[in-house]
Amino acid sequence: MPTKIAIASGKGGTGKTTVSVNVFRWIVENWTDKVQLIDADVEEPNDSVFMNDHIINRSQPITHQVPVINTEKCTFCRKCVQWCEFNAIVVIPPVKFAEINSSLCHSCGACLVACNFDAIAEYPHRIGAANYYYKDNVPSLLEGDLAIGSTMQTAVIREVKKLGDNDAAVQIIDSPPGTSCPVVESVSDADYVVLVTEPTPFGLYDLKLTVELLEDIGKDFGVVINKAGLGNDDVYQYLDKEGIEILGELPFDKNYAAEYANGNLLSSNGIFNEAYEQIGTKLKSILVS
Amino acid sequence: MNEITVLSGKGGTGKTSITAALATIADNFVLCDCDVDAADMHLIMDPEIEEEYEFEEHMLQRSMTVIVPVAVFV
Repeated sequence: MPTKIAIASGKGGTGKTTVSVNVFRWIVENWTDKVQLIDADVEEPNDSVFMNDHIINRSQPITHQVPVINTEKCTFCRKCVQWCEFNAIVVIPPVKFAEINSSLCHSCGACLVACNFDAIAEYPHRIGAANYYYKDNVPSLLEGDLAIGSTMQTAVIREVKKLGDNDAAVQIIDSPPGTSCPVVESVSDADYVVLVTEPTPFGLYDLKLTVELLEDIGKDFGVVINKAGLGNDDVYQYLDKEGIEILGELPFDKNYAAEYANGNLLSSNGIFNEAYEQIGTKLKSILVS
Repeated sequence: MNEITVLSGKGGTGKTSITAALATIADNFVLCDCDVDAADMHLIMDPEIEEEYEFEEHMLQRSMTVIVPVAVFV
């Protein structure tokens, strides 16, 4: 089984993708070339933009089973409507109308159990795709891509993770922002979580939410402070008080921001190389024992 | 009432900043923070909570609305 490192943050735009892509490169150069990056930020996957030496080779649809009501057999009793927790079923008896809204349905299967008339059957419905990006004949970037309008982030993340390369020595999972189900799914089987934050009141507030979440689900984690030098010292005081390890700091740098805006994330800047050397070395010593 | 939605695909682009900035040029307004996963508007506006309600799943059964304002500043 691969060693799994999830990169997460409560707040958006703190630098998860930046850290993921650079940690990927550090691991390739200093640890093992059997590393796969999984982009689990399925609503807006960006890793491929910065991994431009990787070429998309194939795309596999991700589906889930959605129930469909057969109105020939349906007696319009509305039992399935009462059972559905997601308000996805509309049954209007006087006009013999019965339909399940596939974008609200969570595929929980309750309606199939509820129906006494065998009027509901399941069919596959596309909720996204798994995109395989290759370099040197190896799919070292796997991207989850949620279908527009779909609310099934968590399911897409779960399926993409299942498609991960089990022969890889290390997997990096670039997680979505926030603190709800998609994040929990992204970090659920990680051996270690890297939280990326920024030293601003917003970064700190959302970091605290994420720390609470990770403590709740019992994950080991450390923090990378991005845009260091901005904002104030509150985040350092918080981490010190809580005894949370700082894996490294990436300084706020206008030239780097300009490079980022041009799609160049892989740093060749000395300060950043040193920071990733420190972050990578710490991760390796934590995970290889 | 006119309604303006501020959104972005990418995180950290400045939704909260722009929304708070818009609020400074309006004189009769309601601000809704719908970023329910990591709501930050209160850090800028520093509001006093006057009323608070639990949001429960069954409320979804009555309305199709799935966007839930967690705080309303008036």
